[in-house]
Amino acid sequence: MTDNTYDIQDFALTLPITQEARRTAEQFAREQLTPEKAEQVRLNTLAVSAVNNYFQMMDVPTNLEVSDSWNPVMRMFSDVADLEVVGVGRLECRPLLVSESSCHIPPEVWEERIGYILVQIDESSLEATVLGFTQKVATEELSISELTPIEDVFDCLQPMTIGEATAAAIAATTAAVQKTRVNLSQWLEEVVETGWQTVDALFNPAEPEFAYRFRKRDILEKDTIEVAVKRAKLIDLGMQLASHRVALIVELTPESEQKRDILLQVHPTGKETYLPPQLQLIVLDESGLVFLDAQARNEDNYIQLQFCGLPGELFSVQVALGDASILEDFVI
Amino acid sequence: MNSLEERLRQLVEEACRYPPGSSQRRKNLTKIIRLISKKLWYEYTPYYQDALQQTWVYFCQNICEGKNNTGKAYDPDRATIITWLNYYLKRRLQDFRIEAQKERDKTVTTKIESLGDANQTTDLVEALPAEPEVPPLLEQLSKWVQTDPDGELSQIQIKGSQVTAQILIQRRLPPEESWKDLAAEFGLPISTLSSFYQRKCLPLLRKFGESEGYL
Repeated sequence: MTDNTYDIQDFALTLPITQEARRTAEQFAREQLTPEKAEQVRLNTLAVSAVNNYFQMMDVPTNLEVSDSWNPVMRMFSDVADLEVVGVGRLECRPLLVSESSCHIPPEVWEERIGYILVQIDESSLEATVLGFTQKVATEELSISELTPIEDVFDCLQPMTIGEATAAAIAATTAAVQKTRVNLSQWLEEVVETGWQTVDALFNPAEPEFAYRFRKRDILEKDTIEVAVKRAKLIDLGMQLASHRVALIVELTPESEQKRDILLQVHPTGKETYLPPQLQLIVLDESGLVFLDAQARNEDNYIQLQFCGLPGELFSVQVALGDASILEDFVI
Repeated sequence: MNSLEERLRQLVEEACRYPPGSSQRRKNLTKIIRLISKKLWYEYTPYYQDALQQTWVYFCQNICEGKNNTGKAYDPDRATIITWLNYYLKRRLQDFRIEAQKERDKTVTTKIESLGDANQTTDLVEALPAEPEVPPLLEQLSKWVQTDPDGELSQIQIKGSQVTAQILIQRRLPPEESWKDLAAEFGLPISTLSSFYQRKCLPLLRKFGESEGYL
C-alpha cells in the first residue's frame, strides 16, 4: 500500500445507499439486454443516487430528470452516470468496486462534464464511499491517487460571473421552488431541458391554421457549431386565458466567443391569430429587477424583446396576464 | 473533552461562520460528516440507510440554524454532536420500524382472507421464468436507426471519413462493439469517434427518445 492510498482513506466520505436508490437501480437494470449492461447500469445508478443524496444534504439543487443517466434511451446507448447540477452543468459519478484502485472512464463521457466523482459501491454494507473528485480526465483509466477531496467540487459549482453570496441565494431560491434553470449555452451543444421543443414540433406545420410557422431548419446549418438555436415552450396561464395558450420562443445566437444574442418572443398557439391584449413579457435581472418589458396591444400577432449577455449570466422571463403569471429562469 | 470533540467543535464554528449554501459552509459540513460517519449508532435493518440519510439532512439543516420544519438548532451545551444525531437517528429508525410492522400486519390479513378461496389455482405458466427478450425500446430504436425516416442520420458524418451517425449508432446498439475495435476498424482515434458520438449522435437519440415519449 502506498502513501497515496492512506491519503485517500483520509478523505473518503462514506454515504448511505438508500432503499429508493436500490429500487431505481434494479428497475433501470431490468430494461437492459445483456447481464453485463444491466450490471453497468445498476452500478451507475447507485453511484449517481449516492452523490445526489449527498447534494441533497448539502442543499445543492440537482435535477435527475434531465440527467442522461435517468433517460432510458441515453443510458441504453452510453455508459453514462451523470448528475445535472441546476444552473451549473453535469457531474459524472463513476462507480467502482471495493477491490478496485482505478476506474474506467468511457470515451462517451469525456466531454461536457464539470467534473468526475469516483464512488466505491459496497453492496454488502450498503455504503457508497465517495473517494474524491477531479475536473478533467485525460485517459480511459482514472486512478484514485489522482483525486482531490470531494469537497473541492463545491469550488466548481459557482457560476463564474457572480459572487458566492448571490449564487447561494439563487441556489436556495431555486431549490425552494424546485425549478430548473434553463441553461442556454448547453442548447448550443443540443442539450435542451424537457418542455422546450423545436419550433417546428410546437407549431405543427401540417396544419395551416397555425398562426406562426418557421422554415424547416437546414441539416447542414444545424451541423455547424456557431449557429442560432431556437426553442419554444407552451405556456398555460390557467383560467385567465380560458382555452388560449401561448408559446414562449427563445432564440440564442452566439455573436462572438463570449457574447450571446437573445431574442424572446411570445406567440399565440392553436387557432388564435392574436395574443390576448395586455399580455406582458418581462425580463428580470439576477436580482429580480425589471430589465426589459413589452405588452401586447389589441390585435398583436406577437411581442418580442431582444438583448445580449455573457455566458454564466442569469436572467428570468415572466409572462403575465392580469393576476396570472409564470416565471422561467435562465443561465446564458 | 476529548480531541475529537474539540476538533468537531472547531469545524462547527468554522462552518457556521459562512452563510448556508456557501462553499465554505458545505466544505466544513462535509469534513464533520467524514469524521463522525463511522461513529454513529448502527443496526442491521433494511431501512437503516434511509434513516441515516434523513439524519444527515437534519444535521446539515440544524447544526447552525434551526430549520422551521425540522426542529431547533443544535445546542452544544445539551449534548455532543454524536449524542444529538444518535437520538434523531434512533427516532427515525423507530418510525421505519412501526411503518414496516404496519405493512406486515396488512400482508398477514390479506393472506388469511385469501385462504378462504378454495377454488384458487396456481398459474403454472406465470411461475415459469420469463424468456430474456429484446426490450421494446431497443427494438424501436433499432428500427429507427436502420430506416432513418428523416434522412438525417445518414447525412451527418465525421469530416473526411465514411463514418455517419447512422453507422456509429448501429454499431453501438446493445450489445455494442467496443470503442477500441471501432477505432481500429475505421482508422480513427477513439477520441474522434467518441466526441462525434457525444456531440452528434447522442442528441439525435435524445430527440428521438423525447419524440417517442420516453421522458
